[in-house]
Amino acid sequence: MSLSRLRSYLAHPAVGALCRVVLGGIFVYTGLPKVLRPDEFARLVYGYRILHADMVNLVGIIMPWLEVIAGLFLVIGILPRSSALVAGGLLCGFIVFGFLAIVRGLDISCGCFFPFMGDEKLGWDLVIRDAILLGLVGQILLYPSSFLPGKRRG
Amino acid sequence: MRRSRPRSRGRIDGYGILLGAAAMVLGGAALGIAVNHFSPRGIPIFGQAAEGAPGLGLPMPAGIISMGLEDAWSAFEADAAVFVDARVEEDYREGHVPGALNVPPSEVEDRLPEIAEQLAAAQAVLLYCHGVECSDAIGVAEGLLEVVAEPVYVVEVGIVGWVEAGHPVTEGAEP
Repeated sequence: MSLSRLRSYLAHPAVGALCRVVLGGIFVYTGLPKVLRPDEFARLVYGYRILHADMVNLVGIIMPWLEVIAGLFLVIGILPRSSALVAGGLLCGFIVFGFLAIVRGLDISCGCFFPFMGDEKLGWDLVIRDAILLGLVGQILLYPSSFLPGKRRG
Repeated sequence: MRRSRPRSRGRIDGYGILLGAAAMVLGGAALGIAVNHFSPRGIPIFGQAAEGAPGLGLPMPAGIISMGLEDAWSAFEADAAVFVDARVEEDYREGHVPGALNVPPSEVEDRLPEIAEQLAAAQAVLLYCHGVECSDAIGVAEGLLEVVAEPVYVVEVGIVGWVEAGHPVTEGAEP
């Protein structure tokens, strides 16, 4: 497949809509339970042993809301590039946290899809999954789309 | 002859994108803190370290008390408590506190009569799961409160903290 053809596929509005709905849907799906149970989520964050204990709760309170807001905005198409940037930042954070936890040999729950997938152990597969989702972020940043009339950028 | 114009991906307004992202982050943070403040499940914004506890200052449900590792070890040495391992059977078999019963969250409801019998004579009930990051011990403790007198205790550092402190573990499916 030539580069120009690949570009034309990636720029297709249907591909853009699919990327937004998939990425945004995942963020809303994973963010809502964390919003509802900040105490349980704070424990999961603490388990990574990266943040100082004093900062864990703050992250546990704020991060789920960022996930939900970015996810909702992506699905609808409000500020798609800004939403993708926030989602990308969160994904980069997940990847760094996951990488550091794995290389230090921590045997902990990922907390990614909690509580739907129960005790999902953190592993390289989850880091790779986040990296793949970053690809969707790239598509949205390059070819923003929206379900709202007249919205294409931002 | 007019050639059709290739589809443009549009000019990227980096400043506008960053501004939008910053507004989302600030708005999300403000919303999160406000909702947490008024929510019955709200948690302290900055955790307060407590001796033997993970330092998150997270509230425990009624009837459940957080217990530090030293107190748990003292209870173990004095044989003054029954330990309950709230992990799945596979993890339990790999290593658990000697004498601990295995009650995964999915089995609490069905096994309540049996558990009530096993814990009837217990001076204290101490629950644990994997480590600080898991909440299963708290979930199982809430279930046990239907048949066990308050309070029950949760050792928040879990089996990870227990092992790291050099305390003994037993392998296998038997307590």
